[in-house]
Amino acid sequence: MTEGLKVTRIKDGTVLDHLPAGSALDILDILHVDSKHPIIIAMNVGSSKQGTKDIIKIEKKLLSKKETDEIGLFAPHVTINIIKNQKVHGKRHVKMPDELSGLLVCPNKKCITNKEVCETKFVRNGSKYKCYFCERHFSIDDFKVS
Amino acid sequence: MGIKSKDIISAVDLTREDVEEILSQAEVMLGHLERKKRLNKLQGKILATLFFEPSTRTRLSFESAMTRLGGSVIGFSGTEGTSVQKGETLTDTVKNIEKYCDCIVMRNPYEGSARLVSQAVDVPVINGGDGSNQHPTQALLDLLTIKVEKGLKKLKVALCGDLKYGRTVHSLIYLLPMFGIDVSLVSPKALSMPGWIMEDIEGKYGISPEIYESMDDVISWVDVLYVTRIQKERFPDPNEYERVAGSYSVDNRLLKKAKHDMMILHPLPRVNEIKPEVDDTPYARYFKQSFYGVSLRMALLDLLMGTGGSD
Repeated sequence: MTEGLKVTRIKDGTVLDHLPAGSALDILDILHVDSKHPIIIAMNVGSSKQGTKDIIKIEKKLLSKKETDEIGLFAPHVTINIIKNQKVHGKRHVKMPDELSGLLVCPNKKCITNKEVCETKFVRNGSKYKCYFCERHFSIDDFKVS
Repeated sequence: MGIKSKDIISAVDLTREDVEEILSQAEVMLGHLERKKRLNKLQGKILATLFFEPSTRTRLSFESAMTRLGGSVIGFSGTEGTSVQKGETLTDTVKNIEKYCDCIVMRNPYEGSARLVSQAVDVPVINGGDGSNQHPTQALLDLLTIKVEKGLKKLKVALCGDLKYGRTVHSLIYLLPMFGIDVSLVSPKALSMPGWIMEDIEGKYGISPEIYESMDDVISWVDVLYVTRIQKERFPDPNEYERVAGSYSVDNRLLKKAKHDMMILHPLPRVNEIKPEVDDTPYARYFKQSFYGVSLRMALLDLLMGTGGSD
């Protein structure tokens, strides 16, 4: 079969394109979408830009700025399209958020946030994030989503 | 009180103005301490010392400082017999204890624990050491020692030993450049200063401390040799520990090459890194440093709980 994979359009909602291949399920974790929103996921599909990519289409959901920034952490080259009446109505741009609360687990096993039940907090310092509690600095590759 | 925060959690939080105010108040307290004068500035106040890990100097000097100021002390050292052993969370423990006291000093093995506690309670919190992260009151007393003994001027200070896990050096490295003091680092490669601290220092002060692997490289020109303990358990290979620990030991042979007015500081306890023969030389100031710790902690307690006035 030589034809590309055909992914159904959505009427109103958000399309996340050019996600890193294999990242779609982690990205969905960040978005906390519930059963009200029909979702289409395509994984490991061909991409002229990046070889392979993932795509997520979410019906009837617009992303908050916080969600947009958080996605940008793990998918810096993502294209976020706002869809209205099956047409691209606008685009959202991502940037590294200045602060991240409750999203990431501190990679430092000796950090108190890995012992006590409490909300983690990271503050951006250049291209890295500093744990508000243990004060260590981490690059994005050091993290996993909580 | 002028210091910005109600808590002393990390040297990273302190401004030069904060540090100057603390040191100035500590020098006033030092005068009282040298005359063995007991003050009543904190009469009726209670300090809780919560040491989840062993401590000799930090805990006892805080208790001594509080007693000298006329206040009282409650607390524990080790978790035996406390509700922590029954599984109580740190947050629940301190939310109870704050009802019994006016200030908390805490040491805990988890990094960031003091910051978490400061968010959970309304009383001032002083970090007495949180894992390998910070020990801000030790760094302040180190700076007080340098100020009293030499003055805060363009000095050359070498931080030596375990710079990777040593919380005292993780605090001190943030305070020295505030006063234009030149910092050099001496450690085995395996115990070098963490990269994120080096990057942070460069971002904050625009400096990159010089790195050395041997005390011989710095002994002839440093004004202050700050020695820390290299712990055996940090080395997977005991032979490697023996080799490294031996080369980070200060003795009279090494000191023959030192400047005549150089001084040696150590947060203590020491094991083999400073030979007892050094104790009687004019270079040794580590026991005096311990004494200065009481006045520094008197100043902090007064600034956080009392009026912070001069008498």
